[in-house]
Amino acid sequence: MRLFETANFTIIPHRKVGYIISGTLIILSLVAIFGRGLQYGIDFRGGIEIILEFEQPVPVEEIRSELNAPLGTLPDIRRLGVGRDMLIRVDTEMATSEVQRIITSTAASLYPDNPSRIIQTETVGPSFADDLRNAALMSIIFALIVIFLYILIRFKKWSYSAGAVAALAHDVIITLGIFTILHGIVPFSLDINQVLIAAFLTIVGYSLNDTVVVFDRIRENSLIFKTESFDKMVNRSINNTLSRTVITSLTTLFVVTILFIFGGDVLKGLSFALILGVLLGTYSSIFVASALLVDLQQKTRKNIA
Amino acid sequence: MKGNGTKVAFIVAFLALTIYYLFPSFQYWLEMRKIDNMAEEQRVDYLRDNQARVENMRERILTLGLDLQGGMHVTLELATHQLIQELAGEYADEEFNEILASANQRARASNTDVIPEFVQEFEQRDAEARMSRYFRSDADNITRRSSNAEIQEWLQEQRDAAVNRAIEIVRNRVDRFGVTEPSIVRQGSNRLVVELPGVTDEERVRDLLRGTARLEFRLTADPDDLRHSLERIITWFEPGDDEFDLEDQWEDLEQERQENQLLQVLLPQGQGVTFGSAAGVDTSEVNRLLSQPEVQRLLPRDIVLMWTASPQFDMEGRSYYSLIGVRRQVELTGDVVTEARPTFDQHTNRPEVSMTMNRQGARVWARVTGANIGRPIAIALDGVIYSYPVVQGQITGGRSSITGLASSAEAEDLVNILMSGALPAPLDIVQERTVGPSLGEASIRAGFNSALAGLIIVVFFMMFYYRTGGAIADIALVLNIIFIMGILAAFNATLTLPGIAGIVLTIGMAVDANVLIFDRIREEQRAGKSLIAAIDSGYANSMSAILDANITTFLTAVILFSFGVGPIKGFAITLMAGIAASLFSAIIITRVIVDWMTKEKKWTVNYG
Repeated sequence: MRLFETANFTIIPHRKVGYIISGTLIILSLVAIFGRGLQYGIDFRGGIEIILEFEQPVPVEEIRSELNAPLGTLPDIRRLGVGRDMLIRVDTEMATSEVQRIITSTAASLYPDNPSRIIQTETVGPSFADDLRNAALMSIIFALIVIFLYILIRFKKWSYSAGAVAALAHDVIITLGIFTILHGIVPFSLDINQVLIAAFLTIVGYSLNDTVVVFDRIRENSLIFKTESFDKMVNRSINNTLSRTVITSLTTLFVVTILFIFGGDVLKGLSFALILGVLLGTYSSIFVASALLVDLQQKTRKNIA
Repeated sequence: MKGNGTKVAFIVAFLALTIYYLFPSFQYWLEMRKIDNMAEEQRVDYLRDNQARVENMRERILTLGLDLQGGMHVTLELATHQLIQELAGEYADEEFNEILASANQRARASNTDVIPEFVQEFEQRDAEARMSRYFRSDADNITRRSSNAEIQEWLQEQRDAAVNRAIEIVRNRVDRFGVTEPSIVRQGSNRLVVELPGVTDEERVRDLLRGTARLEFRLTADPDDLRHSLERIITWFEPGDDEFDLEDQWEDLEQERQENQLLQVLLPQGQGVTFGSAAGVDTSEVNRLLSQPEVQRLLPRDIVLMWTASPQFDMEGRSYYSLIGVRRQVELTGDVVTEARPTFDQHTNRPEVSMTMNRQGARVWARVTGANIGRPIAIALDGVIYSYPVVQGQITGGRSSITGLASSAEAEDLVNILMSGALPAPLDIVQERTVGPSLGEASIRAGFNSALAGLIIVVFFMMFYYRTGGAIADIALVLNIIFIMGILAAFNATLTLPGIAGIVLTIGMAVDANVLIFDRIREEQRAGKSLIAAIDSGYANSMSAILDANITTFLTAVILFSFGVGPIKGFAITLMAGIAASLFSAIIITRVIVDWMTKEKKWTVNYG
């Protein structure tokens, strides 16, 4: 079977459509990010987070209001998976052991017939959380700079670098936006935490993979079809590599979807980010990176002429 | 096969290396299965007879991260401001303390390092001031003439040394605690990361890691002085001008409590050396009220107040801690303790720690006890008082004991802390994570299942889409996974849950190089080239795209590795290993197989 063997889609002439779609998504994401704020996980905001496992599922509201008085603050409680696991998050000055004691004793007195136990505890101090957040931000910015430079060295033109990095920023912003919008709505954790930063950098790497393959073809074709206009040649290159782009995206999408379904609760957020990243990365390598490359190149040529 | 000899040699060598590194893990897995199937008694015997062999094996296997095997992950931070205080020692005056406190506050607020903040704060107050007023070290040539820059550098060196010493001490304590394969590493300028697999007794570990073991013997306050101060302090908190007298107002204390801010949280005692008592939840409020400078001035100058370590219980079973008045001056410190061991009190059978002091300590101890017969002496550890026994007679021979311990486990841990040396400055826990073993087991199973399911789908898809070529790529893919495991084992990397996710992801992305090559071969065939020529130019022409794509991904993995901590590092390592292994297997292994099929056997390879 051969998909897209003689693909000849007119993509670049219609790049405005892509710009409108991407622009809308980015604006929506930014509105969500600045309106609702990024939903940080425990490692980026500090506090105490405890996972309490019950034998039988219990309602969240009951235990939340019961914990209010002894903890002196209303904890943030979410159900994980099928509802036997409770993720309890407390912002408090209290010692971790004290919070653990309060939670286990409250759960025991509230549900004497439904034994529970703490299966995971995480405490992060506020200054440590700041450090982790800064390191995460630095790593993403640093990655984008390094990629910009590498592409500049390999392709000799800054428009390639700009196109690639714009596509990566596009993917990360939209993924962040979707996470912010869906946070609390979907039945799994979409906290922005360290694992998610790992997912972001992987998305960056993956999306770049796609972009570089297209760019590489553009470079190759520009030596073969010297008389062809730049936008036609980019369109040809996209079509040449379309089969590969789709097949690799499919195989990667298979595995991350499986990871999302069977990988357990802890990896749900990570694999969800990867699913979004594969979809967005495939789209952006064509509609953002290549499209921007055409516009940037045409602009510089006009300037020279 | 011409020209492929080197490639084949490479493949064989890599396979052999991988097997060499993975063999212990496989062996260990078989061993564990064997042990699991044994009956209980048989297992105990077997483990005892083979302990050395099993432990040796364990050192060379692919280790599982804490998120997979359960355990505790703690990040500790050295309290730099306390170290500076310690270094200044007796030279510290009120101004110094103020500068240090405000530098510490600024460092906390803006999340920066205390040392430069301290120097800056110092120079801000008085540009001419010399820090050499406060610090001396003959060994490091820090004298009155040292410049501020020299002192800043010296402080940084001292902090560096303190962190290294803290690592040594924590390692000592953890070893005595008995944890298999603990990991203690330094992070940044003033932090250390401690990983304790299999440990779930969080409270004990916290105390063990944090305890500075600052053992102090202090004389206690004069009961009459203490009582007068108490009355004056309560009066200070009175809304009116009435003088507070303990004896007169003891009866209508209930009424007083309503108006007096201090009496709401503190029950005044004024008997012996006890200043007052408070419920556990109220102690921080009492501390806050009493820490006001106007209140502090009402205490005798040489007296400080310290809480007792273990609570007393009233008739209704509520726990109370007592506030004891002790002398500011420390008579003896834990440095003189040469031996400590956990014992039990002969009369009450309560756990205690008995200590032996060196000769110099014993001499001071004899003098102090001899001069204070009939008066209590407080034994304080890390700023809380464990006991304040009344001296019955002069103690010669340097014997002493710490009583008032809650359990024999506490006695054991205390001995551990005392014997592994005192920390140069307190360690604060800034982050901790404890994962129960069951969560890890579930995660491993889920991760393994998804890896397997992902692999099967990709394998079938490749065979369906690229036919023979796909099958060859599948062989490379399976070898690729084995290589990744081998690389991880060889570098002694830890397999974490995000790491498993990284492997699963690699399965999907590893075929990318082959997809690029195969699509190119199809293209070349379409352009009319023969199979062998198409394969040749297909591999050659796709190489630059493959390399660029993988190098950029590898760079992001390197960045992830250098910025990330803990589990994230594991993810980055599997990603790097995955890229390296997939490049090797997708480019070299498939090429060798294809060449062998087309050139040796003259078979036709169908690329679909």
